[in-house]
Amino acid sequence: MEKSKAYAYTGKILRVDLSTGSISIEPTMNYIQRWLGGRGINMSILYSELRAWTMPYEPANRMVIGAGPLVGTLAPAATRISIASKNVFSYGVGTSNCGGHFAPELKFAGYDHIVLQGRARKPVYLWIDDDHIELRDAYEIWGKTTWETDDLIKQDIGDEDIQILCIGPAGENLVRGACIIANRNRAAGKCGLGAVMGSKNLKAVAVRGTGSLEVAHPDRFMEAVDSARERIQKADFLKVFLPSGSHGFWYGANNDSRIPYKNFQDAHIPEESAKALDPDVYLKRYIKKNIGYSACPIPCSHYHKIDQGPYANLGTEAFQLETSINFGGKLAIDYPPAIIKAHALCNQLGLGVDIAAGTIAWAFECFQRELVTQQDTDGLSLEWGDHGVVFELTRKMAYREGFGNILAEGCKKASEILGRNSEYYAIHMKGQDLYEEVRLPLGWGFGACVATRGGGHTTGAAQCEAFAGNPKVAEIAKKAFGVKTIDPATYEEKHKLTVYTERLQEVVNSLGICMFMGKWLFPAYLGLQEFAELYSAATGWEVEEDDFIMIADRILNLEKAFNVLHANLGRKDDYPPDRCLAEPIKTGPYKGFALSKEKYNRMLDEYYGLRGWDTDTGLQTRKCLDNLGLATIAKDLQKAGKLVET
Amino acid sequence: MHEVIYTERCTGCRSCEIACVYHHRRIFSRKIASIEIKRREREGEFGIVVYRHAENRHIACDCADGEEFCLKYCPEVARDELKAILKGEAASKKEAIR
Repeated sequence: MEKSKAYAYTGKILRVDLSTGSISIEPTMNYIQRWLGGRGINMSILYSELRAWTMPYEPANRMVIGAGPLVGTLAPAATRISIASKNVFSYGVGTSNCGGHFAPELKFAGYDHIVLQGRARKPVYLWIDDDHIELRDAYEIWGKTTWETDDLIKQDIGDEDIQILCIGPAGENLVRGACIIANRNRAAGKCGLGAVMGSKNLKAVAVRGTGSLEVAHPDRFMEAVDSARERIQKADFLKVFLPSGSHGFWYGANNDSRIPYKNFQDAHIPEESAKALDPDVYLKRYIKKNIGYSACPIPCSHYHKIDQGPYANLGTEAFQLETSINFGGKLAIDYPPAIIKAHALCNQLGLGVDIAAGTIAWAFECFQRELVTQQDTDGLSLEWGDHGVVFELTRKMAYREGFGNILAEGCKKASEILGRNSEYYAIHMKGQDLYEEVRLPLGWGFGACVATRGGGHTTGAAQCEAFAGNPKVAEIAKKAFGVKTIDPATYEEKHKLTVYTERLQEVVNSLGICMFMGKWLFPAYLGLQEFAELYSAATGWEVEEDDFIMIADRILNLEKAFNVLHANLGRKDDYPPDRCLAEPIKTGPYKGFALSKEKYNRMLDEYYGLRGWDTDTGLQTRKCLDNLGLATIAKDLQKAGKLVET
Repeated sequence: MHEVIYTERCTGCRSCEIACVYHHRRIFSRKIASIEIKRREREGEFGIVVYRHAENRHIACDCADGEEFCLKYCPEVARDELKAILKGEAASKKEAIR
């Protein structure tokens, strides 16, 4: 195997300095030996190029966009684009990814990654037409919603078949919860990446790619693809998942205490509220068809159309369980079309659903407790479930209007601005509004609490506890994850579940594959072994499961070191919000369950132990970093006095 | 102009385009395929164009009675419809489908 080439990668990284307009190309090969594309290479670039004192909105901050090595091939759902930058909430790692057709188009245009730096003097958008790279004037589209932007750029280029990543008004106005949107409705929602893009005066990145990708061993690769697809397509749970997407597990989520109610006042919503948003209601009345993206064998997204009522005629690709939990749970909205509307509105404004719902739910609770009144809220009365008011606040948040200007900072900073003991009701992890209910299931919650980017269930949060009541699937899960139990309320072995999940997700996010293809979603789906075979056949670089574990651990340790060096994060930042430790679950099957701080501490000890980190501080040790071949990182940490010698 | 057949079931995933190019050239690409998915994302509608003859950059479709390589990668929910379109059966039902 000649080591000067890796198939499936395009081999090129595009760098654009928005301040000077300079454009350059660098080889991806510099990174392939030690890292993996997508999230992995993004992180490597971010770590080596950012200084601790650089703030998210400064021109020196980088935004790195990466399509993984399998993107553009027929590997199942190899369609995700991964984006990284300094996190606007924590100042540590910011990483988020989304589906859509942008990632394959970027690969076909000839690029694995794009590094964006500097700040344009006036609003621009980046146009990538294969080898032709151009910064185009965005005067006419600045201020527009993401949906309008998508239309206007297609008109400007004169081609409907181009792919666009863009921001809406929220990103332009540096709203911390701003996201980046592809294909009108696919959101890279976390970490305020849309605001970083806005700070660079960059409205959009548009791409047209007419090129092609080769894999090293086509027959072997297609054999691995076919076997992966077969495994994915035959699971029983697809009977629910295909018609309704993840919202099909709405009742299961409620029974598992996974739906934070009224800003986490409970972890379970009333039965009648759950019934109002029954998946069948959507199936019978609003869902028109399935939607999927590149090479996806199980298209779980849907086009919804509202036929009557205040949101009549709205048609949009919408929504998964995340939106129904955010708006149906945290904000107690029980009017089915309003969930579709919430999804569409956030996407149009370019505002992440987790942060919009999180911060607005904080405001609603403050109103409930009379910490804010109509004098603070521009006259609005914040009554739980009032979707009209929720949407008015969403709009105000995106445009930083009136009370919305405070909400635009996210719940943690908003509560610091407001004071009045409202901080307790600001539910966040590492500064970022929390989506996940973390009291239960324990593995799910623990994974979200230790996640490097500040909450989120796409790194270490295990999903398998949802199958605890299904003996057949539970057996598969236990065997796959190497644990004796997946009981959601048992504290033991959650560290193992978390580390397993972190490794899997780092690889999946780096390859550019949708995490729904992996054992994360369903324990009989693809694991590291299957991904290693796809990668080996595609790139010609032979890897095995252990090699992927090594690379995944490198990426995670790099993220961890970034958090330590840039944001001084440590053990204290891996605890659930105070409310989730102080208040037991009040209703539902787990009524009375209270998260034990003592047992949580033991989970943390076990997790840090398994990771090879120091249990007292949560900091990395020299031994751990040396074993991963990360001696230079150890040196950086040592200089900062943040390395534990062992 | 080619006939665009608007579909009820196509998910817009474009796997058929990539599979088509792989079938002909053993590479992965989209825009030279014998099949093209027209995405009307606003309306959630996806149209299909089949290039029966080579033209511009498109390779000619070499359909052979329902055993097409691209069908294998079409999600199950949409496969029968694509099969009918490739066979030319759906074209006559264009109005009804639209």
